[in-house]
Amino acid sequence: MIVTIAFLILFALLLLRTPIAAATGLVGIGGLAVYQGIGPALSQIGIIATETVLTYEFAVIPLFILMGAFISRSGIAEELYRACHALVGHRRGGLAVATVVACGGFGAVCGSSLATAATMSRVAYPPMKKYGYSDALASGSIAAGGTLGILIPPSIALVFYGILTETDIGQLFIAGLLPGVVGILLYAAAVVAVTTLDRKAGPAAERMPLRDRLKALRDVWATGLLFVIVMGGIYGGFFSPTESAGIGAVGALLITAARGRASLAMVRDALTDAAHTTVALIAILIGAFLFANLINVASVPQALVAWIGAMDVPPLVVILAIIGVYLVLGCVLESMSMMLLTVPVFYPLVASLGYDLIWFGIVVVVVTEISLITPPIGLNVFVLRAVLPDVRLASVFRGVMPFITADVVRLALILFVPWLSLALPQLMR
Amino acid sequence: EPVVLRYNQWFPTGHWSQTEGLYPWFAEIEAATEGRVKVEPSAKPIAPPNRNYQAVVDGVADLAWGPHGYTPGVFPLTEMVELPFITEDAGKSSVAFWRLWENFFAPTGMQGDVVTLAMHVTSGGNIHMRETGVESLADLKAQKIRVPTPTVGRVLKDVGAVPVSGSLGELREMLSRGIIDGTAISDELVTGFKVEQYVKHVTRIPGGLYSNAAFVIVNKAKWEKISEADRAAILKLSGETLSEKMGALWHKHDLIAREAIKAELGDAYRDASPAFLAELKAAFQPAEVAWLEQAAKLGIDGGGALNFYRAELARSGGN
Amino acid sequence: MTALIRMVRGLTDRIAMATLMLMALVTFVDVAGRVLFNEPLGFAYEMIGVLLGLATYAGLYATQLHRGHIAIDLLEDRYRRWPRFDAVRGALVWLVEALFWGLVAAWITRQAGTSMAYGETFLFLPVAKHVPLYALAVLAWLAFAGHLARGWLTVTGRSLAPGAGKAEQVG
Ligand code: NA
Ligand code: NA
Repeated sequence: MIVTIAFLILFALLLLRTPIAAATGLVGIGGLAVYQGIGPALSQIGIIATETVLTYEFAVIPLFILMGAFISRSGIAEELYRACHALVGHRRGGLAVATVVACGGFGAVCGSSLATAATMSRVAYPPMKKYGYSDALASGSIAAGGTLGILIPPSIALVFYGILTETDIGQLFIAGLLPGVVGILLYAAAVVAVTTLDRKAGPAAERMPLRDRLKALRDVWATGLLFVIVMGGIYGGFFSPTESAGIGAVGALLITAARGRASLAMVRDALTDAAHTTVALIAILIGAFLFANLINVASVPQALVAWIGAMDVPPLVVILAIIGVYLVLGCVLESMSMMLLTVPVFYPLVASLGYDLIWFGIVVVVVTEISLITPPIGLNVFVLRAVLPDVRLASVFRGVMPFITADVVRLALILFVPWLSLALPQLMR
Repeated sequence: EPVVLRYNQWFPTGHWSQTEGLYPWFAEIEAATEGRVKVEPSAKPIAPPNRNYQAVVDGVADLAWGPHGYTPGVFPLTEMVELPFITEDAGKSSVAFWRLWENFFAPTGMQGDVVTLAMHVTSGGNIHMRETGVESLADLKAQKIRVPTPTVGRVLKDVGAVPVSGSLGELREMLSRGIIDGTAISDELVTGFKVEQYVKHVTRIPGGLYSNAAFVIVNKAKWEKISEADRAAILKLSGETLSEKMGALWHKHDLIAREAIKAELGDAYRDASPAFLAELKAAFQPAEVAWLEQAAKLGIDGGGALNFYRAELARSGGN
Repeated sequence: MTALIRMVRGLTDRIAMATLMLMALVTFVDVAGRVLFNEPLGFAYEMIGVLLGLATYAGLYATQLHRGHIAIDLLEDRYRRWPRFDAVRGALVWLVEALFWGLVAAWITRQAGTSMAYGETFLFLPVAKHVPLYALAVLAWLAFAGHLARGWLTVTGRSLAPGAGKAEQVG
């Protein structure tokens, strides 16, 4: 009852445009005060507001964001985009396909979905606008493409899942690779579908001369190098996934410098950017932890597990029910808080049903990806709005609809073809 | 209306310390009080493990179990039972620890903000290596070793090893990828965290290179809500009884882990030679001196406490 | 007054930038030292945590000052059409945020005091834990002041110098 009221108040505050961190945090404290008294409730602010930021494991957040901030100023994103443009830009919807593929490539050197969306919106939006793409398709393909950043390794979300479930983060990373590629293909299919139905949504650009196309492809080496350093370092045993974020950040800076793009102003700019994104995310994390403690103290997870257990249904139905819970929560919660809230509750249940936890990790991240672009809270969409203030939120959400359809297809593939997620990790076991 | 004690569940729910140790004890409490007192584990941690004590003091959680060493500096006295070469059988050591606590530590006002229901130790740590065996201090030279406590870290650094810090959560990552060459750790944690396949050599240190002290504590105000008769019933199930139960459980599972690792490694699971042990004892000597100084600062007779602990262990055959 | 607000902005921004860069460098040096020279920085693990804390609460000032927190702006256009309602809504949201971040600052301060009373230290970092906690508390109070400053700027209709609003972007 108290939790229901808390959810209603939270929802009202969020609709009034209260920042997510303050809304979840304050409602969490209020609910905790009802359950435990004001003293214990306030004590939890002190504990959570300090211990959350003093945790080594959470350092991956700013470090991967910093890596993305440097990378986005290194020219890598432009090169990736130019290479993809050179290959498919002259076809109808080609630039949107190029955006999606470049997002996937960028996701391979960037651990954060937000950084991927933010960077690609700066790179890919102007050319699409120039060639007369609709706002919906242009911004939708960027917002959706950005979600590839958290499945294709490295990935902050997979690191979190690994920490929460004590599964091997290296294996999780490699497990995300194939489903990520499937994601790129399906998103490309979504673009083709949209431009077939509405020929004006994505007109063809002119064809580049062969010489320029070859040159554009050759320029992709820097992306490859950074991917090899970060992932090779993890698999070669030189550093842990957490440390790879720091290596990636410095590596991105060095690559930028090597290409003559580094300057004091650029470093300052990247650091300021990374600092603000970090604060926004950690603030949400603090609020989410407080709200999660309310859910916890109110014993909601136990009730949920007991309820699922009492239904006595086939394991697959349980998995589908869990996915249903994620999709519903994804409408109101931000993806990171959603994972932190639910994974500790669900993973013992999933393991007891005999499912592979690596596979479940990929399922969770794909569902989380969907939540990044679904209304009303879709962080990627908000990032896009922040970078491109002139694009209407409604057209972004309209634009992502075909991509959400593609995501649902991918989710079904991952559910029914576990091989997609497990083939590569099994090779390294 | 039963009194419900909210237990801060920060440790994996499937671990034997929970399923064979604390959960059965929770059931005993409920039975002994005829359902008037219940313990309910949280679905996930309400407070992180290093805030167990504060969480119970502040009433965030009502009941907590956890190692003292997770909040370094806060419980300097317990560092004595964590000294090397002293924990052969965690069950017997835990009985001695409880008595030590009652006679020497509790009177100092330690843990005065909570009700202490158990004080126990965990099994001693050995040297687990990925590739090379360790038979002398020289073998540790230039080896990257994950260390659980500053004391072990300081000693290893002095002998030319490379101490690496890192949480238990990162242990698998560090071992499997070769970020570390080895770790000082108890056998039961190696199997408990399922990293035994990455360990190819073990050097057992009789009495342990270190050990961990742990508490079971209850919030005072909540405790007062329980009737006097029920409190007595709970106390009967706690104290020395619960301490021994937890320690013995550790010893049991440490032996199981030891046999499993031995079966896998054969001769590569070895006991430290007397010569190696002598080297280690000399290297760790300053740690005992440091503790005695610390105890003196806190106004207790450190030498007397140490002798008491050793005498208790000798009496029970624990060392 | 606006000069003071800007000065604090410059100060906290510098702390956030420096600590963020240090986080990356400390990790890099730690790994390079370990892999290449067998000589890691023993305390890197805990130092990274402290730096993350400093970066977060230092950066919080600018985030409060320029409304940088992530919020749902689904109904923003509609609210703009009802200016009276929007003013009340804005004030309410401002109060909710003030209450939350005020409580955060106050209880971080309390947490630092608790840690000091406990005599808590780090495992490897050679400093008492309440020292960085008090630093976090100071930064959190500055951020709270930044929130008050934003309220004051809004009510008095003043604005900071051009360029200072850049931080409103997230990402
Ligand atoms: Na990625
Ligand atoms: Na969503």
